[in-house]
Amino acid sequence: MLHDVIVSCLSLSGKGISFKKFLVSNVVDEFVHPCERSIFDDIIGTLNYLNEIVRFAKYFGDNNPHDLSDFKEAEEYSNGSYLKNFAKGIEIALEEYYSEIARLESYYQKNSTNSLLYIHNALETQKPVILILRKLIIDARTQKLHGCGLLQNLRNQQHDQVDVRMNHIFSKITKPIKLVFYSHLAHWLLLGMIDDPHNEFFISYKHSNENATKTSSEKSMTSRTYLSSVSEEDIWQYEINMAQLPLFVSTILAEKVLFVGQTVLLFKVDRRRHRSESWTAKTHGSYCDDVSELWDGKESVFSKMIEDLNDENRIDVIRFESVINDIKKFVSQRLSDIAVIEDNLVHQMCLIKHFYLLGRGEFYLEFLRQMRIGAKGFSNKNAKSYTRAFEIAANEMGIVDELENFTLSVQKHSNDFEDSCEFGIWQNLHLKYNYKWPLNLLFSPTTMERYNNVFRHLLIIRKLQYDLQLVWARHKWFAKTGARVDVKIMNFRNHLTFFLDNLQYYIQVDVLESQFSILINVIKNKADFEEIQRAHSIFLANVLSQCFLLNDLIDKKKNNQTTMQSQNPVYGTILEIFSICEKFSLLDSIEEDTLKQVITLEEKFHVSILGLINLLASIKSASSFGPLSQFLLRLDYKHWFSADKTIKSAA
Amino acid sequence: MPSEIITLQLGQCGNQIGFEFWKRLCLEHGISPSGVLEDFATDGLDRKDVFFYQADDDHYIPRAVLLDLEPRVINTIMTSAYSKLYNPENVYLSKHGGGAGNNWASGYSQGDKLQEEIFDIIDREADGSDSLEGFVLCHSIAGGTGSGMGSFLMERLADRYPKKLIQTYSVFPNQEEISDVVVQPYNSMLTLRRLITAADSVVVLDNTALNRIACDRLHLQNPTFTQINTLVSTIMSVSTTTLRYPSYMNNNLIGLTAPLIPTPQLHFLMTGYTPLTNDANLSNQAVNVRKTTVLDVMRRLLQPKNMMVSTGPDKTNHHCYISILNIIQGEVDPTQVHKSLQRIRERKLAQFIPWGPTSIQVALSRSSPYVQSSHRVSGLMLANHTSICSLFERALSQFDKLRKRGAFLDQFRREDIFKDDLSELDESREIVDGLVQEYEAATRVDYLEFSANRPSKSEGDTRSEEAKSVKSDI
Repeated sequence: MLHDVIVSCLSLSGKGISFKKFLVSNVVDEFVHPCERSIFDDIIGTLNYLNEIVRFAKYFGDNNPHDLSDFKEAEEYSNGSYLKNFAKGIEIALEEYYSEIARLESYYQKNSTNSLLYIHNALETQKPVILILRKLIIDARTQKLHGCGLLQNLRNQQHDQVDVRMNHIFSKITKPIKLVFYSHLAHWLLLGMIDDPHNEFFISYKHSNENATKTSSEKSMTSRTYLSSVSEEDIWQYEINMAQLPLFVSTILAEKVLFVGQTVLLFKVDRRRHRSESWTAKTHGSYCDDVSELWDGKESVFSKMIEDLNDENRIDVIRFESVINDIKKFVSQRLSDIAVIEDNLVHQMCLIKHFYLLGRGEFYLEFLRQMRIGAKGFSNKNAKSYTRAFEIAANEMGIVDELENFTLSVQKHSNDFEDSCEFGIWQNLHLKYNYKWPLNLLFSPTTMERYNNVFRHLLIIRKLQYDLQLVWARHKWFAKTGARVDVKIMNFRNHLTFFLDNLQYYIQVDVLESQFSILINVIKNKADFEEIQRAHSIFLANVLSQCFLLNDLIDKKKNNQTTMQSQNPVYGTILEIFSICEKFSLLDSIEEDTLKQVITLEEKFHVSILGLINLLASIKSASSFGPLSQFLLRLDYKHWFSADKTIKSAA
Repeated sequence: MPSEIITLQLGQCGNQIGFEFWKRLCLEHGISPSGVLEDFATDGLDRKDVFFYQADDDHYIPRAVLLDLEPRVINTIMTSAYSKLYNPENVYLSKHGGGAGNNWASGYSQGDKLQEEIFDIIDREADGSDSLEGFVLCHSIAGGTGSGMGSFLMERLADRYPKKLIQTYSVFPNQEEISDVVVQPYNSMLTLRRLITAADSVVVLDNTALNRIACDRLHLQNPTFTQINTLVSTIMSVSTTTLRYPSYMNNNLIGLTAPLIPTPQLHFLMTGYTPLTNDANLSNQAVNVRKTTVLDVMRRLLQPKNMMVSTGPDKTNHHCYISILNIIQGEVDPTQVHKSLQRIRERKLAQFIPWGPTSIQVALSRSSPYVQSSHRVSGLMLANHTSICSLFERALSQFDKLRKRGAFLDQFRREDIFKDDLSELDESREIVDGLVQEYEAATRVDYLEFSANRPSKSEGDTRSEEAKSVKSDI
């Protein structure tokens, strides 16, 4: 009978039928002494636990779990490679137990006089392991752990163990899971691939809406990444899955991992478009070339580093971090080498500055002139005339080469703006830049939208300035011919010009020049790519906020309806003055009633500018926001407007 | 290529400073004296097309017209290394070669006689450009050709090209030395009238101040013409630098001048440049090289001693800036600009007009990579300052001295314009006097009322109809 017990101890794999028979038959009562009854119960208890563990391991570890039915409720989380490997790990951990029982059996066969107690003792030595395993399984089941969460739980539990033997057991269980984790990691870091159909890794692919409808199942998506048919948008669809982020990986570290993978993806993506001919020549393995360009023969070193991590008994956070850091540093250094040296990042940034930030003033001047010529020919300004004027201007200035990557178009999506004010259309202009590889990491779609925001703002200022200059030229001509233009009109023109000029000087010199020089310094100092990336986002954020465009942007996202109210108040006032400028430049300077209209406009202007000055002054005194005081200094250099205020309030 | 500018060099002085200007431009753009682009200058981000155009063989030709009534200076140019630079068709010398005898009236009537030939050249140049922005005229106001023919040309240009700007670089005579041209006060007065009525902006180059600066700042005992002209060419080239090395603003003549000139009459600009070094005196250079910062440069530009116009002492201290544009070149940290502006405001280093908003505009400009400067930062100031009227007052008083005595008028009477009477002289005096009063008024708060009540010119009403019709197609 004892042999039966031992056999049952071994044959847990089945449905435990043989063992259960003990309980239902009266064998126990007949053969077991009442004193041994509790011992027997203990053994049965342990075996029950074991049974549970083994069934779990069998269910998830086997490829064909259909003969077991008691984990059906686990369906939702059950099919994942982490869980499978967890089960494998448990099997491995049980090996010690199996060998112990085998030893027990052979021992028993030699001496038939052994008692039940002996078996009990033998089992008892294994009990801590069994209990821990059971606890892990219960954790996994109750918390529905899967993916990296499992790894995290294991690591936590291991951390609590002080016992050497337990530690050893834990390493055994963890090992297969670690293998999955590190292979995921290596795939992502080195190849930019995620073979993760069950969303178990802490970096996951987020479907954009249209993608979701297109790709019916996740499988097809992953196969897409496999085929390396990565489109550029795909790069931005990868993000950190916080639910699966193990605690030992900090968010910062996870971002670094994400960055490395995206970089690798980038090397796959655009290179093909970049060199489409070479791609068609060698349809296969082309992306390998590109990726190896990134790794520069170092990928074996890094994959060895990750392997080494895997060979360790426990997950050493510090080593893990240092490996990730090493890889990230290498990649971004490499990237910035490529970007700065091979693709001349400084040059690209200058292009951005020239065309998005209106650095090439003479080109935009010509653009405005062409718009004006075009406006004469065609009474209705359609969207195309902008694009065409842009192209003609590029031709005229002989900078078609530089502009080949830029296209200007009118986006007709929002009808928020009244048609009566012309700069409404200008608000919808969109300058598209086909950035050169590998700058995709710098210019995400949101970044480009922000650039466009600044671009439109600057272009409107430039346009109004141009209009006012034409008014100036007209006035000058009148003076030459002896016609009288009322000096009040000229004076008002000067006020408006002064405002626009100073707004422009402020934005271009105080904001753009200084922020841009900071950015260029970072790039020139051979910073790694991530630092460049960070400097770039700081640059853009500063530009937006200092141009008073920032609130506008955020608010627009939040609620489309109430744009006018929710705008940055400074920006709102600036817009008001813009429309005054526009109305003024359309006036006919020597008509009889012009003076009246000018006086009305002037009153409006004074209200607006006073509001602006007060606003700036109050914000300035409330906080030490540097740029505001710069604008205020320029605008109110000799206290003209603020003095005006005191006179008016006195009167 | 849009926004082209045609340079007209008139008379001895005009051709001399024009020549220096073109030499300087060639140097800055890496163009050899024969017009060929140097190998090192092929990838420049500059705009050569504003002042040059390219011939079929790609060599650069200045958009310049050289006019003189006597051959001396033009011959020097045409025998120099730069002889092949100019388009020979654009060099016009009067056939008799006798000059204008330092007589404004002679220059004026010769201009009238030669206008067809001259405008053939100018029209051809203008047609050759895509969208001409304006003319730059280099001349002196004291001599005969530059002043007389210059005056005639300005009037004709304003008629013929009403929508084009006319900017002049006008050299005013040195007041401290006795001129060999006795009728200089007449010449000046008559030219000033055209500068007021026909030009859009006048950059005043005052020989008095230029000589003073050469003596005091460059420590030259007896500055030569070449040394003075180097100063002038520096000013001319830097004041056009935002056109040639374009950046976000002031990319065309109108953008450069419109903010400086608030009302049409007040269009006489002063210049200042710092730091000045004497390249001829190499041993002295070490002493001259100073540490330059943006604040340094901007502060020095506000000092009268650096101005290229001698305004005389302002006893009542009422003169003020109407507008200022500083063009700063060199390694400039943009954040310094704001600090400098702040400091200048705190110290009240500049006094501004009381009737409108103004500030110091600062344009950061690139400079030529081919011209080495020993200074980190350099700056040019273009300023509209009311004290410039003292220059005109001086011209008026000299004119009056001569006019009272009725001296040297015979040679004027010989020409057509003075055939009947000398009213042209007195009208000119009146107009210049009106300008002096306008500048004086601009120092006061009630300038706008003054300007509004200014008696309109007699011809004004007749021509306003014409203005209306022109305006409609601007």
